[in-house]
Amino acid sequence: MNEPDLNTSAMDRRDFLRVCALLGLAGFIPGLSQAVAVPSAVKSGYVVINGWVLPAQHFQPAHT
Amino acid sequence: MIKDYQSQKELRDFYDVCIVGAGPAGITLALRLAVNGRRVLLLEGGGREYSQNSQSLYQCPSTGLEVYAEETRLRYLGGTSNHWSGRCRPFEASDFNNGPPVRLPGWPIAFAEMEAHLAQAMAIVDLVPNAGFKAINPSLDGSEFAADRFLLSPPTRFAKKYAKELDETEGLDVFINCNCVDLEFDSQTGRIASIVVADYEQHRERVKARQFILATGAIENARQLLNSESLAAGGIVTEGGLVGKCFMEHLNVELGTFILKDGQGKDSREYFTTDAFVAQHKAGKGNVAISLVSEVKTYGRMAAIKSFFENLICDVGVEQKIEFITKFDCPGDGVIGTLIEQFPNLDSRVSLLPERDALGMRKAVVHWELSPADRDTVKSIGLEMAKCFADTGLGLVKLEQCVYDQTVPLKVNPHAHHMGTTRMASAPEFGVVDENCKVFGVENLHIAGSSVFATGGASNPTMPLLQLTLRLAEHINRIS
Repeated sequence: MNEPDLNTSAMDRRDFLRVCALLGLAGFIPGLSQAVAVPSAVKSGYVVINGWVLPAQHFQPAHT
Repeated sequence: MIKDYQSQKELRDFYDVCIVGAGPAGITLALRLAVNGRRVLLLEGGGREYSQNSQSLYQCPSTGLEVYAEETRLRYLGGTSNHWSGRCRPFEASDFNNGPPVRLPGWPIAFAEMEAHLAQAMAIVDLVPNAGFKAINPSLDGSEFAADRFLLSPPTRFAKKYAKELDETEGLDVFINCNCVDLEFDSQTGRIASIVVADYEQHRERVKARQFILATGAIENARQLLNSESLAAGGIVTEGGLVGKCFMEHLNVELGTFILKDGQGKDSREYFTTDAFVAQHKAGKGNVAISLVSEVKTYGRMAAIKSFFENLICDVGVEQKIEFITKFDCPGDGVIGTLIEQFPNLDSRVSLLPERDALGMRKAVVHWELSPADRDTVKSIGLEMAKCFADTGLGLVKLEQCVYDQTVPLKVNPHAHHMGTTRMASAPEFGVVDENCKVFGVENLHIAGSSVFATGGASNPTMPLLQLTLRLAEHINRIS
């Protein structure tokens, strides 16, 4: 499985956790599900990134 | 006849009913009782117009969240209706059928008891009875939010509208600048024997009546009860009791901003949580108001952001999308305001300070706080409304972090809707007044106004409190 690499130089992991409550994506990012609460929104496929509530489908990795 | 107690010490020896407080509830009660042949005394602590002398008696600090208890109330004839905005939304059957998800019961009366007085309450606030409450926009698709339905009163200024009746109704004495400073409870009879009134020179005298009604708003109603040493000595007001507790407001939370999808209308929209939403999320109710900024920009940074969102589905790497989104911060096309239900909470309360005011009454302090259940309500409404935006193609929402992240203090303001401090219940362990708005343990003391609300729903309280007031007037007419 190709997982998204969120540890880029532009955005380290701490910054990511601070600004991004990632709901739908948390389940397939190693370690993230422990750190980020997963509310009910996950059921209907939305993520919250920097406050923006967005369809999770646009944040799926290209090849799973 | 309206008289000024500062210069006219002309109280009668005895009244059938004495009402403390000449706001919407007090004025409505006084007129309803007097036209039914009761000899009624209506007391107003303030004058005909605003004065700092009177208003300063409303000074009341907040601990916890800021209530703005002095600024949101007005202490003169007509009370807070003198700056009421006029929004009217009735309670719903579900407000009465379903108790709150906390360790306190909901309303002990049936919704039909309220509904029976809706048409008359609408007429009082100058709405066409039975006209139906109107939506200003269609409902959202899905089952969680419907279009809100409400009407706007002109708004009714009670002192102005009812000036002639207050002056001319036979059997009604109205005294302004006449402050209730004590309730004298006789534990032998279980009745209020008299109340003590004072002018601004501290001239005091007793008022005797068969029935007494407090109609001074949710903070002052509780303060009057808490201030009475004889009620405390008689075991009516106790530390473990409910007087002053369960202070509720409607939460005024700005959920965030949004970007409207091209082609959507630019009019404001108002939505309301459905009963299905409340049941599914075990949440409170809420009004969500969508307001657009005056100029929706379709160029520059906003255009770039809109274009980005409209092309989210494109084959850009996930990390690049997230990086882009985390870096930008735009004002959006508008803001999402709310009026959200707060559940009764024993720790939100009115209590007394040792310090006394110019009339010798102990000052009140309000401690207003949110419970975890309130935070859950705000979060559920924010997330679900944002999802509805996207689902229905209305646009995309950027929530305030404090809405979805409960570790961040919530940015919340009050709506000046004070409720719950003498809540209605079927038994004294759950409330202060019974189903007839009578104080538990006192035969002849009733309370009018939103302080008796067991739950507050997400409806503006003025019209519902008038419905209860009309119901109380019928009850008092029956028993006095």
